[in-house]
Amino acid sequence: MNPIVKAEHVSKHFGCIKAVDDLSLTLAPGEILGLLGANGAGKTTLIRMLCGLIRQDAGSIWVDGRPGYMCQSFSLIEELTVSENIRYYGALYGLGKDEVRERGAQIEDSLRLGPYRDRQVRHLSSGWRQAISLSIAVLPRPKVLILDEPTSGLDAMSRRRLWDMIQDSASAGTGVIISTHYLDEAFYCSSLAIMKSGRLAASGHPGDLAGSESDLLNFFE
Amino acid sequence: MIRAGHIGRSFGRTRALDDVSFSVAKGEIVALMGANGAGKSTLFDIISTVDPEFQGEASVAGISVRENPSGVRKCIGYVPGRFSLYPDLTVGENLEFFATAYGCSPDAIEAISPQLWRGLKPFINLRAGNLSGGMKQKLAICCAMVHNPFVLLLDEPTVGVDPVSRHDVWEELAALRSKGVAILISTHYLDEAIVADKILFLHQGRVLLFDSPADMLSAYPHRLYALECPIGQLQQVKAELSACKEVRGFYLRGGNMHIAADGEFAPGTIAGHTLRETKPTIEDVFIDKLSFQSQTL
Repeated sequence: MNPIVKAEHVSKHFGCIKAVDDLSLTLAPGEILGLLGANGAGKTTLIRMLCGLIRQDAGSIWVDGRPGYMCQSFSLIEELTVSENIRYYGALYGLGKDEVRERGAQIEDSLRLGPYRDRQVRHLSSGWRQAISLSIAVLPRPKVLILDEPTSGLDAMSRRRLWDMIQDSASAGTGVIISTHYLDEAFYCSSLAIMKSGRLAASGHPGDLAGSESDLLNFFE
Repeated sequence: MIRAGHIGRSFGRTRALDDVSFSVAKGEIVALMGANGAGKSTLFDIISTVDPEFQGEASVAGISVRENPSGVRKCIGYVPGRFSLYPDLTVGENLEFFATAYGCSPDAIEAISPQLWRGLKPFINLRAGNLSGGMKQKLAICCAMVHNPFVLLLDEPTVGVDPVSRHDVWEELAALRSKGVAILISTHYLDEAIVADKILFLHQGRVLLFDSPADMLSAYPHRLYALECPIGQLQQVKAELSACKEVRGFYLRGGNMHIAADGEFAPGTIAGHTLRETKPTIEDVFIDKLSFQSQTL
């Protein structure tokens, strides 16, 4: 299967710090690639380069189309309602009014948001805000979805709901790159890339790399 | 060391806490869990004397939170949810600031928590804002412990902290526990909760569970099965499971679908894959409990 993301020998420096160092990876359609590593290992820098938010110093990056992107902090407009956020971002993505209405209804149905569609986002819990953010990230049906610690600070049920959504997107053919500190989430992924000091310390199928969550810790040491 | 009796707290029409009772003994770690908005931070605000507008009774080391808040403050160390140190001050200056506020010497930390301080000492002249996530949290705990409190309150100290640093933080907490410190810590990490002595699980402001992890696991009411579930077959698996009347619930857990079932559930295979019976984890316990509660925004 042809890759939808291809990064070859990518490096990025900040002053004398090598944030990402000669890193290569690929992503196939329907693949969920988990990005693991200690704080400061270079995960967010890599993600920002893949999204085109910052430019690499060396190497090449190719992504099939504009990726859907979701970061740790909420990107919704808190003063707008759920429906207004969907309409606003739909317009930003250049979707037609009918398509936004149809996709908005799908999102509200699948998340059972009906009674809350006219509620300001700031009144929703962080778990629901992340679920809505993810729904908006996939509005333009991107081939690639890039998620930077989307489950950080979420409770177990909210994490489960978000992962259901991620798995559904992947089963529909979307390629997903997701960073996380939850080791159990590593086993939701179809492949892993473990970063250490900006370099790729290990990569492969989760089951081949580690038999358990605690085994994964060895790659962090 | 911490006693909470029938605590209630409302904000306008929202009932943030409702009839919450629990206790934390000397040398015990209680993990406070629950959905975002379940009332965890409100509970910390009450016990740490920040919020006096509550119903019920709360005490720390026998001192009433309502009647003698300044007495309580001397007994507790509090690490709030958001990074609360001064990023422009160095590690040493932050510690000195908090020690001065408590009227003690910053050098005391060396005896109170030698292991914790040993890891931080090499960075004593580094600005706190430049520390890694794990190191920031270790410094926050040091600052909260500098006056040698009986009780330590930590509101989600490991959010966004990598697994190795989280492990380090919990080793420090275990060392403080063995010295008799009573610890109430909120977390979303189930691997952290399982090493606590008890878990206090809040849901919509009420106590849903308060027990040891072992007792919670042994009280799990269903038989649990795991099914390796390739992403491409997810919809087929969900459809087949939805048609089984014995199935109480199913959800993804790691690379497997977990299936809670009752009665004579013996389908052999689902979508061509064999089921295997498995033991529940704390997450399975929570999911089971929460499945009887309404989903709220």
